[in-house]
Formats: sequence, C-alpha cells, structure tokens
Amino acid sequence: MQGYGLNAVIFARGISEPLIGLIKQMDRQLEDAARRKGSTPLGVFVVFCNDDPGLQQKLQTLVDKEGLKRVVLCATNAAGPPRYRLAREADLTALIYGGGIRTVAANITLKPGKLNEKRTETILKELARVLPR
Amino acid sequence: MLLRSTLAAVLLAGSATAEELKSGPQPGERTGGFSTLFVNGTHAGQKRCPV
Repeated sequence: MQGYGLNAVIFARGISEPLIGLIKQMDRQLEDAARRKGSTPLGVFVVFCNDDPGLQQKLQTLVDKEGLKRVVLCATNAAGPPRYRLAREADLTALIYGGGIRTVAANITLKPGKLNEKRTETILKELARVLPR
Repeated sequence: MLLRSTLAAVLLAGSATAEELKSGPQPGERTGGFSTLFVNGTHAGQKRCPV
C-alpha cells in the first residue's frame, strides 16, 4: 500500500470491548516500533466487515475517543473481499504479513466471543515478530 | 470400560476438530488487493487498498 508498510490486516465483524483493547495495544506497539525505526509508516489495518450505515461514524468516534495514531480503521461490506474467503462464522480473522511480498505469515481466526486476553497476547506476539526491532 | 473410554476419546477428538475454523488466506499464501474505505490515517475518507 502506497505510503504504508504492510504488517497486518485484521478483519472484524463489529466493534467490541476486547477488540478495542487489542486495537489500543497494537497502536502502542506500532508507536514503539516506529520510534525504533522511522520512515515508512507501519501498516496495521483493521477492516470492519459490516453493512451498518452508521459504521464509518462509529469508527471515527472510536479513533477520536481512543486517540489512535497508528492503526488504520477501515470499513467494507459484511461479506468482506470475496477473494479472501472469510468464513461467515469467523468474528475475527487476523492476517500477519511477513516473509515475502503480500505473503501471510500467520492467520489467527476466532469465533464470536473468543477474543480474550490469551488470544490478544497471541496476536500481539505474532505482530511483534514482523515489526522492526 | 475400554469401549467407553474409546468412545469418549472419539467424541473429544470430534469436538476439537469442530472448534477449528479456517477463514481467509493461510500462512504462505500471497494475497491480492481489495478496496476499502479508510476512516483515519494518511488516506482518511478515501477508498484504498491496504495490501
């Protein structure tokens, strides 16, 4: 993506407290990594797949309220991008990129209600592997 | 007894498999582009491809 590196794309169905917690922690993680190595902004995108017409405004409110600086929130339709074959049952599909251009290094898929502290930690660890050290 | 424990093991294995859910490209796969609306960041308000 022009202007960004590509570190992770996380597809989510909706806004939830555990997801907000994950986003805030990733934002801090990116801020720390950016301090170590500047230049191209690191790219972590959370793509909300939801047909709610008020989604964009809700995401903007989230950005403002949480003061997000690095993680980019995006909005698309409920089906998500067809070629990504997102499972309907998946509440969250986290793709961590590394090891090649646009190549997935890790995929963490969770059903609704399964994003807890342990899973959050797993995603943060996988992200840390591909961030500048 | 043996039959009962074998049955329990089969049921447990079945439930473990049912817990697994595949969604999206898997490790090692290259992904293509897609368009999505950026809410914040450098391209806020624009439809762009993040990958």
